[in-house]
Amino acid sequence: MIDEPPVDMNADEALAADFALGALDLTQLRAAELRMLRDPAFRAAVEAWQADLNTLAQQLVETVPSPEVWERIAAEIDPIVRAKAAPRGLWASLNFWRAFSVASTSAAAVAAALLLAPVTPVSTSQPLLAATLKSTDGAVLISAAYDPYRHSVILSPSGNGPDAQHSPELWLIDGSAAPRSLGLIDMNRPQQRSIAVGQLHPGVVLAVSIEARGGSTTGLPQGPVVATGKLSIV
Amino acid sequence: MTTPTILANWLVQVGEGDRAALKSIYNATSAKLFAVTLRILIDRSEAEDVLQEVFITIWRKAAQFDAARAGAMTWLVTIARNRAIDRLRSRPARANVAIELAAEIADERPLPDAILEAGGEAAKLQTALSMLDPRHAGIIRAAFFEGLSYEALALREAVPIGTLKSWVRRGLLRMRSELAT
Repeated sequence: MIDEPPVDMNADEALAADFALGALDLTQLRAAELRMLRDPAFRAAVEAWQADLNTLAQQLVETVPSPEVWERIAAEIDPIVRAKAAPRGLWASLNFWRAFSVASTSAAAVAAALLLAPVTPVSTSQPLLAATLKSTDGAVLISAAYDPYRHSVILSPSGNGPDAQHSPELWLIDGSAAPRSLGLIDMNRPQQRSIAVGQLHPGVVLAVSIEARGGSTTGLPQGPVVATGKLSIV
Repeated sequence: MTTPTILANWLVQVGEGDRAALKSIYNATSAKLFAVTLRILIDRSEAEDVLQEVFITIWRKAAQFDAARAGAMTWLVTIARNRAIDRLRSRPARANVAIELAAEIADERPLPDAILEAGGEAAKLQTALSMLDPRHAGIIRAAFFEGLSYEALALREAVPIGTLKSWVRRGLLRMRSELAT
């Protein structure tokens, strides 16, 4: 929809104000988050509005959350507790993956899928690669780990997907080469993607874009990129 | 009362992996940040879930906090609002809690006279908003506190979305010019 911004506010300034106020819908929100990453002027405009608006929060009557909230936070940031915790959330699942790749026999969903399939030996020199795909505000959308036994990427999505009219699509971006689609992602369950040997190495970027239902029709991302993560050696 | 400087110092320490500093920030700000997420999400357990996410985000991103770019409280409130609005927008439409049914909505209220007279940032903002058309100021407040989208606000106000956006943006500009005086 095209609407006229006031004469003294151009489209970018209007978007910055809308975003800081929090009035955008989910698709616009994701696009604005991406813009924050790559457009310093836009980011500065958003931050200026946040500085103006956020003191409004002082008018909220303080409400004490239940004590369990801090207990859950403390458990999540404690490295020892975290390693033992069930793979709830992606932060945890990345640690879970590390543990699994060593020798864990834990029967979580991802692991179960892997253990059922036959494995072939692989050189121990093959590095384990992982990436955490985050949105601009730091929210983890997907954690990804490369399974060198099966030449597959294991994806653990956060469970927050777009509406039914849109499909999240995964992309592999290697340097300046054009992004390559790794297919659509179901954000509600762990899954794997087969990938040819040698395509993944440290520094390769995995990205998620929000496409119209069914995915991009051009072979390149058409919708906003909502999360990116760089593969690095675990 | 935790000063902005103390809060900013704690954030720096959290950025260095100091868990005790995160607890200090939690003790000082969780009631305010919970009010932010609760006002937007209404549902108490969901608002607590999001509050947990907020502090995990603070833990991970504190190293990116830059006191030269943003005040500590502004930065924290931004994270809380973004996470809560994200959650609100990700809900299936029919799952949105009917506001009439919510017995325990954190309320907002005008600042006490004492704070207004002290004339801080919050007082200036309240004064600036009071200069706007009351309806426009009300819409800006609803967008901020309830996390409502333009679409939802236009429905509620029964005006075309273009009109509503125009009111809000003009209101924000007017508010900003009042703040600058």
